Amino acid sequence: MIRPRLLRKAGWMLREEPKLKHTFEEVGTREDLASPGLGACLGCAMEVSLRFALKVLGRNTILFLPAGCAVAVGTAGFGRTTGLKIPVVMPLLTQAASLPSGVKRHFLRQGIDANVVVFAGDATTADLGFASVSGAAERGENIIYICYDNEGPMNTGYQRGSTTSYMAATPTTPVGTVTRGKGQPAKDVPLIMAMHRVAYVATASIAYPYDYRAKLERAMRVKDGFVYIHLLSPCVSGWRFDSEMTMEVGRMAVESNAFPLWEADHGRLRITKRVAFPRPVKDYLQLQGRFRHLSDAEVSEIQKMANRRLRELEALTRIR
Amino acid sequence: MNSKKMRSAEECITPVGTAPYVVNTRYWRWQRPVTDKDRCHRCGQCALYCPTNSRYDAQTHFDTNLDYCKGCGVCAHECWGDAIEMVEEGVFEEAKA
Amino acid sequence: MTLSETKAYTHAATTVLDGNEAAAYAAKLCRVEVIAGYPITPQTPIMEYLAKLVASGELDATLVLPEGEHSVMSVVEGASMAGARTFTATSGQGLAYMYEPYYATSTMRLPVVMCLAMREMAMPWSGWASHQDAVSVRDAGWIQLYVETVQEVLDTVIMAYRIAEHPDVLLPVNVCYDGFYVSHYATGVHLPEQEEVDRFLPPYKADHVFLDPEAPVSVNIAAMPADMMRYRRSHAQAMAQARRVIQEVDGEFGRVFGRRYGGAVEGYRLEDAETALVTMAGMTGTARVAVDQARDRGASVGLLKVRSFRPFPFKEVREALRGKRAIGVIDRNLCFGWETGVLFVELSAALAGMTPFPRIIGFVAGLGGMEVTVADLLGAAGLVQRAAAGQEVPRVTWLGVEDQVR
Repeated sequence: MIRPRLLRKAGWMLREEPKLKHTFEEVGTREDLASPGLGACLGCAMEVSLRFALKVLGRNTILFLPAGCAVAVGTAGFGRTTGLKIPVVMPLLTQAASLPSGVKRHFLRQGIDANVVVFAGDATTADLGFASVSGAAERGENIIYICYDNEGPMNTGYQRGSTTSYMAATPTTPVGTVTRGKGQPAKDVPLIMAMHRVAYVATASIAYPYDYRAKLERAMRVKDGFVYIHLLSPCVSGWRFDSEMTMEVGRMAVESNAFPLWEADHGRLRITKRVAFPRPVKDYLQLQGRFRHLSDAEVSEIQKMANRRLRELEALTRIR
Repeated sequence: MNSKKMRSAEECITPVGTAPYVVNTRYWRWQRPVTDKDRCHRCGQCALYCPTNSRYDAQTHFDTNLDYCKGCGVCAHECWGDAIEMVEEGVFEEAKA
Repeated sequence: MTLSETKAYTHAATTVLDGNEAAAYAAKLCRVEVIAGYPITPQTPIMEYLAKLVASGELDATLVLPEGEHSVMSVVEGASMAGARTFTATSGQGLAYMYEPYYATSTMRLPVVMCLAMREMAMPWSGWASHQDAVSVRDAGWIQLYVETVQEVLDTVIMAYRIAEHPDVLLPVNVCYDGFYVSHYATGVHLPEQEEVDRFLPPYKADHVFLDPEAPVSVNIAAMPADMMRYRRSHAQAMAQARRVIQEVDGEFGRVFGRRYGGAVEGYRLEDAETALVTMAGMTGTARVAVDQARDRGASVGLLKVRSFRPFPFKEVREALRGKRAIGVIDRNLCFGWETGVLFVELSAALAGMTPFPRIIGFVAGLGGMEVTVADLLGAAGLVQRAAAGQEVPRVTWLGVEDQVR
C-alpha cells in the first residue's frame, strides 16, 4: 500500500538520497563521541545535532556546554562522570563565549590547534549570554559557536525567550482571553551576528545533514575569526509534536522559508538551500501544538513576516 | 583513554569528571523499530537522523541496535521505502511468543 | 618617567611608581601569560600600563580586552583553565558585575591573581576609595590580602602568585589596595630584578585542572550533594592551609628581597601597649603616625594591621591582641545590619572567649573616599583609652561625621 506521505517523500528522496547516502558514508559511520545513553527526550533534534557535530569536528575538540538541554541530558556527566569522549566544560550561561575565548587565546599562545566549540542554547545565546557572544564576535575570537535554537529556555520547560516565535504559546505566554501567545517576533540572532562582520555565520538544520556538515567543515577551516552557526532544533516537548515528527518539522521550517538556510562567509551572504516551490508557512505551523490557537488572519500575518524576512535575505545576497 | 591524568579527580580539588556517564535509555522504549530487509534501500537516512545513533549498516540492510534506542519513531517516519515499522513492545513480545 | 624606562634600574635602585603602575610592573615581573581587563576608575591605569608593556614587546603576554568585567573574569578563568598564569584587576561596580565568574573561579580552584583598587559601591555614586567592594565578596572563596603601600602592592602581587599556585592552596588571590590613596599615589619603590623574581616564582604548571584534547574529562560538572560537601571541605581546607603558606611565602620573600610584611597580620608598637587600634590597607600608614603621636602624649596604644582578611587570621589576631584592655577597630566599610564595619564583626568573633576579654569598639571611617586623618585616628585612640579606663563609650563611632571624637 502506498501512503500519501510516501508519495510526497518520493520527490524529496529523488533529490536528496545521493547526498544523504554520501553524508552517511563519510560522516555517519565515524565514531560517536558522545555517550550512547543520553537522557534527551524521545526524538530530540539537539541530541542528534550534537552527535553529528562531534562526528564532523572529531577528537581534536574542546566542547563548551552552558547550562541547558545539551548538558542536562548528561553530556558533561553528573557527579564525577563525563558523557563525552572529548574534554567538555560547563561554563556559566553568561560566559558562554568569553570562557572559551580565554581558553582559545592560551591555546594559540601554546600553538595548540584544537577546535574550541560552544554548543549553547538560544536562551544562553540571545538572552543571558548575549553580551559575551557579541563581545567575542567583535573581538574576532577564533571559536566555533553553535547555537541550537529550540526557541526558548527549554531546560526549564519552554518559557518565553527572545528567540521564541511570534504568537507561540508557552507556559509564560499562554493563550488566554487577553493574550495570544508571545506578542513579539523573534530576535533574528544569526543576522545580528552577521552584522558583527564576523568571519563566518550560517544557519543550519539537522534535517539537512549534508548542508550542516559543509558548514561545520567550513567553520573548522576558519582561522581568522569568530564562527557562528545557528541551528534550528525542533523541540518535541516544547513545540508539542509527536517524537517521530522532529525531522519533518525541521524540514518543513526550511521548505516554508520560516527558517531559510544561508551562510555569510566573510561578509558574502548566500542562501545555501533554495526552495523552488516554497510551502505555505501554515504547513509548518500546523505541525506544532504551540500554534494550534492561530486564526487564519494570524497565520497570514506570520506568512507575511516570513516573506519579508526572505526578501531581506535576498537583498543581502545581492550585495557584492 | 586518559593519557593525561588530573590529580583532582580523586582529591576533590576541582570538579572534574572522568568515569563514563550512560543512561540506560532502552528502558524508556514503549515501541521498537522493526525493519523489513527487502524494503530497505540502504540510503542511510535513518542512521543520520537517529537521535541515539542506534541505526547501523547491517550490510544487507540497516538495522537497529536496541541497547539505547528510545523508540522515538523518527527512523520509521523518515524511511522513504517504508521499511521500518514501529511495534509496541508488548505486542512485539506476544507476536514472538 | 614612563614605566617602560624603569627597566634600566637595577636592584638597589628606587624609582617612582604609583599603586597601579606597581601592580602592572609586578605582573610583568611575574611573567603573566594572559591578561584581561576593562576600564573602571580607579583601576584603569593598570591595563594601560600593561597594554604599553605588551605593545613594546617588553611583556610577552596575551592581552584580551572584552566588553565588560563579567567577560574579563571569564576570559581569565578560561585561560587559567587552559594552564596560563593570568592577571586582571578591577574596582567597585566592576567587581560586582563579575561576581558570577568571580565565584566560579575560586570554586574551580584556579590560581588567578586580581588586583582590586578598592572603591565605594553605588548608590549614591562614588568613584573614590572604600573597602566596600572587596569586603562584599569576602565569602566567595578568594584569598584577600589588603595592602598598605605602593611597595607592598608590588611585593604582594609577586607573593600572591606563589601563594595562589602553591599545591596546598590553589586558590585565586585578591591584592586589595585603596583607590586613589594607593592606586594613584606616586612614591619611591624598590624594584626587584627579573632574575630574582624568576628564582622566587617558577612557571605555573597546572596539574589539578587543565584543558587538553588528550585528556577527555568534563570540567565544571554538576555535583551530587555528597560530592559538593567534599569539594567545599577541600576548599575550606585549602583556605586553612593558605594561612601557613602566606606566612611561609612572606618569610621567603623577606630572605630574597629584604622586605617582610608580617604575613597575615603586622603589629606596630603593639607588644607593650594596653590598647590597640586595628586597621586594614591604606589608612594603616596614617594610623602609624597617629599611634606615634598618641604615644608621645603618653597614651599606651599600639596598632595591628590585618593583611590577610581571607583567610581570616584568628589565631594571629588573638595572639597579637592578648591582654589588651580595649581595642578600636577602624573600618573603611559598612556591615549593614550590624551598624558597624565588617572587620569589627569578624574581629569580635575571632576574639570570642578570650580572657580577659577586651572591650571592642568600632569606628566607621573613610567611606566614599572620605579622608581618614591623623586627627580622626587620634580621636579614635582617645576613645579607646576611655573605654580601657572603664568609661562609657559608644559601641560604634563614625569618624569625620560626629563631633564628639575630635
